[in-house]
Amino acid sequence: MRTVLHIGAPRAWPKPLGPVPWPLVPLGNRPLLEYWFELSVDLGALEVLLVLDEGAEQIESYAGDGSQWGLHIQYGFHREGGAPLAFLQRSPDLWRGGVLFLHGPLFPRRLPDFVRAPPDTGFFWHGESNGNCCALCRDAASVEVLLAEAAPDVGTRRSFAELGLDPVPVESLRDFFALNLRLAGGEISRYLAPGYGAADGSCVGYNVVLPPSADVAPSVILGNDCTVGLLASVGPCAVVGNHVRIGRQAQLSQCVVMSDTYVGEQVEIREKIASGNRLIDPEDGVVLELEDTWLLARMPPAAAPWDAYRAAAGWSVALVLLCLQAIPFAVLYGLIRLCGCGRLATQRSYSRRGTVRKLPVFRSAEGHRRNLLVRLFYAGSLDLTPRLFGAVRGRWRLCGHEPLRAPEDQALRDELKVYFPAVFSYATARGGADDPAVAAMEARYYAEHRGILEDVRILRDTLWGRLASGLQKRG
Amino acid sequence: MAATFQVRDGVGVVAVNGALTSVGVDAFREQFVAWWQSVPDIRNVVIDLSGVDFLDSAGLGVLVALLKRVLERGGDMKIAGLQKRVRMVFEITRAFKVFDIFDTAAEACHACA
Repeated sequence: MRTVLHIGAPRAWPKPLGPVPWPLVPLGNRPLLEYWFELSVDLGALEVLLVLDEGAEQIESYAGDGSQWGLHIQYGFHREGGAPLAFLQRSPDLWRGGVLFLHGPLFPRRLPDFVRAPPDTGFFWHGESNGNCCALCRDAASVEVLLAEAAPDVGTRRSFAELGLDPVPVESLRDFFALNLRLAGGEISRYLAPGYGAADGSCVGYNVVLPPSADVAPSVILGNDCTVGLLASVGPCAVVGNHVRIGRQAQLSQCVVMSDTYVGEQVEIREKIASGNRLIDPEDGVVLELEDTWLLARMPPAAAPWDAYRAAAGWSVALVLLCLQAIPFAVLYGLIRLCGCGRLATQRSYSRRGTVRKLPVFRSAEGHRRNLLVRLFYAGSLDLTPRLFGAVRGRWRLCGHEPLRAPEDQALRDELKVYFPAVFSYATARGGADDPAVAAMEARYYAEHRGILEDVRILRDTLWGRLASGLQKRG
Repeated sequence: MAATFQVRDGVGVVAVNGALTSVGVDAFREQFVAWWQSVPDIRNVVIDLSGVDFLDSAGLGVLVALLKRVLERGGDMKIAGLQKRVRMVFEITRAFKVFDIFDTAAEACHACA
């Protein structure tokens, strides 16, 4: 028996939650897709085919070869325009041994009488043949019925309810929120628990700091690496993702807090979804983006240890560079201002925490780009001195991403898993024109390939490249 | 951010328009204080936020500061006309426990009378 999960069709509703495709939206702190894996394992369908399109890279990166669940996962790609069952109809021989089929965002909700060993015959169907649907056929005859009928006849199909399953559509933030609260309300006990399961129906992940003064009212689902502040209150019916910090005296109830979120002191979240610095009302989808980092903020993902070493080394180098550049900067900038050749302006840019900061940017006056003072200024990388000051203050890294503009680069900011806005970047090293496509490619590359050697290369290319360029022009 | 100040049936009504954020709170506070000193007979104030589409913690802070001034005169301050996003800020910060909140300025004025 095989499982075919046709999950490529894109959906817009998860966008406010962050850059996550709908099969990976967390329900009770586990991705929706994982519940289908769990059902496949229960049904003995260990051969799984994922049909992907949007978010394919993320989903493949998450699911891998399936060995973590005891599955063997293969991948196919979604074709636009075909009916859901067309995929199965193209290679009917593959499914003779039975098939569990899913098309679209349905959650395999288990009822209290869920049957782990379903009957060997029968054609179980839920949904619409042209929309979200799922089917289970365990014998060749049922598979033939499934493949032969574009819209399976009511007379031949049986309901999933007979198996103790109630497939629930997840087509909006409201559905997503309601399902999470249902799971937090106790239904999570019908599935593999994400973390340690308690008798009161709560689940607590690994590495959770929970002081005695914090009040956890059952039932809640707390993810891994969470910190709950003193006198904070969590629950009832709260789903808290991984790597969440809850400030002291904060109150969370009837809510979903997505991973990597900071909830400030004395903040109250009730009947809402919090995702980074976004507060979302699931009823009407209204999104509030807060710039007050002490209320709600996106926490940088837990950094690898070498990121911390890199930051420490970068800060030391920034301090040395700032000492070297301070006097030349003061002299040359003073002369440039006197001559009216340029000035420092500010640009709204995203900080690492997702808030907006003013980034100092040097702008040469029109017609003065080839001015000797301006060329010297660039050749010595003195236009970056104010940013170096920010780096010493801890606002920017020494080497990393070119700070993304707010709000123009919001989509890219959401997409990047790690973001280190910095003084020196590929953009400063290349010194080329601002091409958004190139900038996006560089940002993604740095997120994946960052390291001390990469930082040294950026620093060398920027300092030496600019100096060489300046000297060449002078010559 | 722009604010208009008027007196209706013995109640001061302050209508604010635009975003009440750190950028405009100082100007708003100064305008309010100047107006407040010019109407010594007024004790109760309604802040009509129906024209405010965004408010941050600085905006909330100035409302709390104004409430303190009004209470010092022995009056009361009520908030009216919260838009959805502004209401969400009030909820997350628990500010709705500090202020009396009404749907419209007329209802708030009626409550003050």
